[in-house]
Amino acid sequence: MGLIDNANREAFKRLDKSNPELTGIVYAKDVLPEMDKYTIGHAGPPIKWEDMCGPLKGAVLGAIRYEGLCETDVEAGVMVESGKIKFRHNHSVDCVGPMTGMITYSMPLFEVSNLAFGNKAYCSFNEGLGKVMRFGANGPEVIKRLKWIEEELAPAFKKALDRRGPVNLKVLMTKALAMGDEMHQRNTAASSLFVREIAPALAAVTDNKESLVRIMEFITGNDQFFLNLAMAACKSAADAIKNIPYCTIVSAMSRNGTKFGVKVSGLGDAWFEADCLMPKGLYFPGFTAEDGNPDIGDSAICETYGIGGFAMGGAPAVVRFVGAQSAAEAVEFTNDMMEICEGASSQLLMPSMDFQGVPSGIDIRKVVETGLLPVINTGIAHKEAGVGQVGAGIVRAPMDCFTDALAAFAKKVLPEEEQI
Amino acid sequence: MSKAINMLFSNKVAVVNAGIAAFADASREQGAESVHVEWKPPAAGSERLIAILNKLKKL
Repeated sequence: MGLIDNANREAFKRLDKSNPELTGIVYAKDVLPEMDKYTIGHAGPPIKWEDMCGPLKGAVLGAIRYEGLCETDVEAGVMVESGKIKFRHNHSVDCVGPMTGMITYSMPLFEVSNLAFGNKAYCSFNEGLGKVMRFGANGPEVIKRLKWIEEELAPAFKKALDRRGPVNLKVLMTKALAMGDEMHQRNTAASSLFVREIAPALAAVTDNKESLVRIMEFITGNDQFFLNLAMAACKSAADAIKNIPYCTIVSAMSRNGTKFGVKVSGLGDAWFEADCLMPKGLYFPGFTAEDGNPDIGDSAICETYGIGGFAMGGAPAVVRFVGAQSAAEAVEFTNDMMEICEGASSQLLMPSMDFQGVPSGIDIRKVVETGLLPVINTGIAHKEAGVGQVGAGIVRAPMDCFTDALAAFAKKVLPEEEQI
Repeated sequence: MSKAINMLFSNKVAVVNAGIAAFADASREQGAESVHVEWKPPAAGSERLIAILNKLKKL
């Protein structure tokens, strides 16, 4: 095997060996570097305020109000325009957040440790469906819910986790996949399994019965609760393959609603960007494709690892929700992704595909050569600030990210006389 | 005309179609047995990208 094949094999082994575990509930202010109330983490590659899409701007204005820095969106806008607010992309500080991906000073985070390699990754709590900040909504009910997550839900989770001990996420993900979740747009089984793990400890540590009822109603009423845990798990695995020399495996895919970014293991922290594409899918009653914002969110970390769209063949129940036609089409998606990946997971198996492992480790060479683009299952945000989720669907990563990355890779590794 | 070509025109045609699926459909509509092979030129036919891929294969 050559240098690239060896490096890619190593990357796949690390992805496969990764063992993510929920080890703590922490606050952004306590664990993230240079975090203050004026610093806002967002999804995707770096972006300036003036280039942000509607839902990202809406979420930013809401996040400023959530931190108590002002009362109104107008005041928040003035703070941004005056340069008081610092933006940074979540991936730069070991974090991920779904859709707009807001991570601010006071927010609680899931801390996930990759036991195989010792690195940690963080993700915010899932807020539920509909009018939520991750989809760009920022009304009083959105801020109130986030405050409740910070002040009641997260402290209870922290106490429960301290009592119970860590929750192994790989075991849960393996079980959930066997129960029909692809863990991006379908987390019904994973969320239920997680509640089964945490509920006894939550009941034990929560003295106030009304508080316990609120907490249990919230986590059992949200099928997507596990998504954020899956994302942190996938981030912890993907970070374990960063900076392997000669490696052409993708170490991150993420979108800020304007640009789609791809990172490649052997190319360090460089983002290769292209315009985000529009998801194709189903819209909630009263909304159409005209209302949808281009693809957004850090959640493509799921596909970077090998779940979500890559595992659709093992999750026929999600097919109609994301607007695909048939279970056979879902199998086709997974088989196509196998063609662009280095290997198949030895543990995340899909019973409905005769226990085939999910495709893992996207090789940019194979993407460019075959023309098969990574498929991502995603929620769809309204293109205007403040509205929220309007649908769900399927989207592809743009080819230019991969062709640009391939050209940069060749420039880096080929000797002078071989440059093209 | 060679014997092989003559045989082609005198026997029932069976088609292996590579690339555009519509050609396979058209053959079938005209009564020919047709198998479609999904195929695209590598790197969408970009000579520069194909050259890069070939050079990387040697590393």
